[in-house]
Amino acid sequence: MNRRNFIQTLGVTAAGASLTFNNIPLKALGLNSVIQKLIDPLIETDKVLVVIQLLGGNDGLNTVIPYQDTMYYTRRPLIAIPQGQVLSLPNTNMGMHPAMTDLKNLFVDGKLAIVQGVGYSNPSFSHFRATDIWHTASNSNQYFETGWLGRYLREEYPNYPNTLPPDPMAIQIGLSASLSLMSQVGDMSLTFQDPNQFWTLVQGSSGFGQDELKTLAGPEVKFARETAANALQYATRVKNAAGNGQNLANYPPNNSLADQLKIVARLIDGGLETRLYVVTIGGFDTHTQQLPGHNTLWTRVSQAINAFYTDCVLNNIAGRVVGVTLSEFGRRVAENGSVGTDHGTAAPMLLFGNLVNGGMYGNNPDLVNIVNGNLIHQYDYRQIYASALRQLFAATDQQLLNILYQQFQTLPLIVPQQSMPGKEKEHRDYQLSQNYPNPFNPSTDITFSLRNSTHVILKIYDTSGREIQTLVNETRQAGTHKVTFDTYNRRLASGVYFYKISAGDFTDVKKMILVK
Amino acid sequence: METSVAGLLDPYIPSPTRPWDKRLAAHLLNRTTFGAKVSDINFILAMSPSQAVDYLFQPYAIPDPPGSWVTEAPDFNSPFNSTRMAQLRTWWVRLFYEQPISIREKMCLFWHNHFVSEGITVIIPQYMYIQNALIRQYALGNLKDFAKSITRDPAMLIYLDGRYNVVGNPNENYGRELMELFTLGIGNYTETDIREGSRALTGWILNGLGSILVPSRHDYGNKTILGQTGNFNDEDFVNIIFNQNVCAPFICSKLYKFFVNQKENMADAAPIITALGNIFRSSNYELTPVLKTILKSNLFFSENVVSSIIKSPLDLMMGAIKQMNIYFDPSVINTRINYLITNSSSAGQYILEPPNVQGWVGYRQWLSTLAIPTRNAFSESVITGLQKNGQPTGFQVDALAFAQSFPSPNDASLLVDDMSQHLLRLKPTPRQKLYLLELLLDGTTIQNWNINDPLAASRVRKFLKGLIYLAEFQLT
Repeated sequence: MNRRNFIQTLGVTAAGASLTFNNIPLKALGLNSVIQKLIDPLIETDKVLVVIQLLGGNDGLNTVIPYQDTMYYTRRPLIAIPQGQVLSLPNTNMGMHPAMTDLKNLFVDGKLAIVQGVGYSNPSFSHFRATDIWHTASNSNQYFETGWLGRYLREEYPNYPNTLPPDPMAIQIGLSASLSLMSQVGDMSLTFQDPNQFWTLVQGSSGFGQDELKTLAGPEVKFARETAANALQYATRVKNAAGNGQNLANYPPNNSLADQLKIVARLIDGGLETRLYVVTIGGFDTHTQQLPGHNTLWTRVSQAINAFYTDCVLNNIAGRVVGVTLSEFGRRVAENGSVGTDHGTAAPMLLFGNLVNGGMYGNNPDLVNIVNGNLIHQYDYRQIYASALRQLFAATDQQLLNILYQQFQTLPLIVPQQSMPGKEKEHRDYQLSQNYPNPFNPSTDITFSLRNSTHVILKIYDTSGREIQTLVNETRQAGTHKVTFDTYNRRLASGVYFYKISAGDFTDVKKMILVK
Repeated sequence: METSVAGLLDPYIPSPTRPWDKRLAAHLLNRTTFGAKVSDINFILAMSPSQAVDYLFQPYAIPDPPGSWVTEAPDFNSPFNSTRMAQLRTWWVRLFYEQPISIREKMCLFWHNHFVSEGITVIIPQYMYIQNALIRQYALGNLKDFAKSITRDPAMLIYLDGRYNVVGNPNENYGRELMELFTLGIGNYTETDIREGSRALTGWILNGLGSILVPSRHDYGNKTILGQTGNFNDEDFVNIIFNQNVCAPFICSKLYKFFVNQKENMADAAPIITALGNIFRSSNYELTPVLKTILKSNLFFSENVVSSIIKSPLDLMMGAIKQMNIYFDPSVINTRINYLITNSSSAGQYILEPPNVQGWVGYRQWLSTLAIPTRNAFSESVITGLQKNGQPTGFQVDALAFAQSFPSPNDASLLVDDMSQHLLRLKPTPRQKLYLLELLLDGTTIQNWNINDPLAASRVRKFLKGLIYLAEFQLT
């Protein structure tokens, strides 16, 4: 049997069950990338949200500048941007920091939305508490352990982690995942810095952890085991997407944000179906000597966003991608004694992309009616979250309530997208779950559910398409069934195996990994 | 089993059901040092648990500084600053490797992650060395005095902008973090307290290798801080803070997370933290009594907390090296230490460069999908002598000698048990035991296992590689 036949044998076609075929390591299959592209499913692509986090509290007033307000210059004698240097924004009374030439052009082209005065009631001035509030989408007096992006993904992937999506649900470029990506069932993200380095690191991984522990170690072993399994699950898929994708724009050098966005563009172009990306850039805590530092930061952010946007346009993916910036707080209206600014409150958020309704949202900052030297917010930050989820991902009212816990009025920031392609739509009558444990040794359990009594065939294959074992070939009653695949005393090599179910009009294939 | 708080904090007395054995001795050492060698475990096992804890607190000589440059006048533009900062880093991590059995350096790392400064902001390596020495001086000493000294510490004056804090226009950076992160915790002060407290801190600037108060920059007016009004200075401010009841439990909560269990949800721990806070406060913020209370307690030695803490990268990497008894020759030791530092940095812990003023959050943030493979790749390289890219590391575990440091190297089953216990403390499940035993035997039978077999070394390495990939190895 040749490999193409094997693919057919498994029932993998261009549109259906091949979803689960996607993460088979190329190495394991010995397929070259041409064949890989042939068997890659032609799935309708999804929209993508890229969250750019500005760590440290960005000074909004020196980013989007009320340069026609004399009070701005009164309160900031040393650090105000001189009127002659401000980049004025057409049809507004506002301007941009002189480093933001590229972003001004995006604004003029209608691809950039600026939402002014974003914050929340009773704001926290602590970096860490404020960051948690933004990540968890809480009121200032609420403490949540899950994040808004994680809860959104939980709505879209209700069967995770029992069923692993073919591609990572979310990607954090970096070393540790943001709290925003945590859900009720754990970390929803894949975190890495460079796709190839990540793949290399994961090679040769094996191992599992026990799940019988009743002590405080138990949940930690489980967490470590599941995280390691995720890395193993997705490293090849990510590497292949990076290999298949391309960057067509020039990215600025020595710009960590540009480096991250370059990877994001490559992965989207390479066909990864991940919906959320989180990238970060630090250094916004400008207590002292703010002018040179803030200038460098916004030069980087502006150039990085422009390169990324250009890349999306050139790769013809700009119609799918929206970016948004957020930061834990703005800064005090008046400068401090160190040519800088202390922690403040409301600040603008920026959204960019071809789907964005460009323009200025909200009133210009009121520098007179301030509280303890701080701006009063106009918009709750969760209004922007709700808008993005509603307009980009077509989240329903009920989903928004499940994610944000309250109703928030949306702003027309994004051209509404009608519906989500139903990648996670399961068969109404049947379900095949991911085996557990996975990776495994020597045995693992496979669970499937039937709505009605049906004849079921469940078989195990190796990567060459050879049938290893028939686990089920009989009529099973309605309900959930668990069968065990036991390799003990069998001479099976470590590696990838598949299990395929056929029942009625339903077939599905999933991958599992034996480690010895 | 005692369940009252008092019972949990009472000293652990070995019993037939809870014997003082290698496993608990390893538990104590791995949490209080950077990894327990087999010989270290045997050494403290000769003492009682209480004596062993006391032993960890014995003073020992402070090593010579990393170079004569530590007394040179600071120069922000010196071309040597970055190489000297690297020297300091190597010097400190080498100390983790070479230290005698002592809790001191582990507590220094704790305080480095509490009174945080980042080398990249401080720039001057002399100042980072001086701060490191200050941390070492107070690591097991009096926290109130420590907090007063760190407030005037040159590196801290740079890092949190205290040197720019001047009468009439205060910079709040240090005042905020002093209360939020260093002493009281968020919610236990107001924004007004920050503004007023910052006024008390005004006027301190750098002065050579130290710092000095410039009267014309200091605010001598009355301030109202945490309900008290007066012409307060920085020491008064610290005294007012330490008179708050929340201060002691705030610190004890961090100690609890560091030594006992990291759970974010501290509800179960709350009465224990309160009790520890009372001990800490009543000893006028001396650290040694409260630390000894924790480490000698039934709680610390209870089964519930064994191997329940997620290792930091330094814990995992230095631990792998020390637990497997890897020897570094003085001629190459700095190279080896730098290899460890590079890997620890890749896994998220670059010593002297915490990510921000909060320090490393740790716990599950140590274990991302990138961090776990990075950690595993290092541990594997310690066993195989090869990095993932195929480059040799120049060192690897002496697998035979390591196996022979256990009592029954010729009994494959016991050897698996002993090495697993040494490296994991958690007993493998029957399924895991089978897996590990198969790796060790590697085709031979349990009857034919012989440590003198020519293949034994490679088989032990295969076993160790399998073992470090178990999720349990991420824990201590």
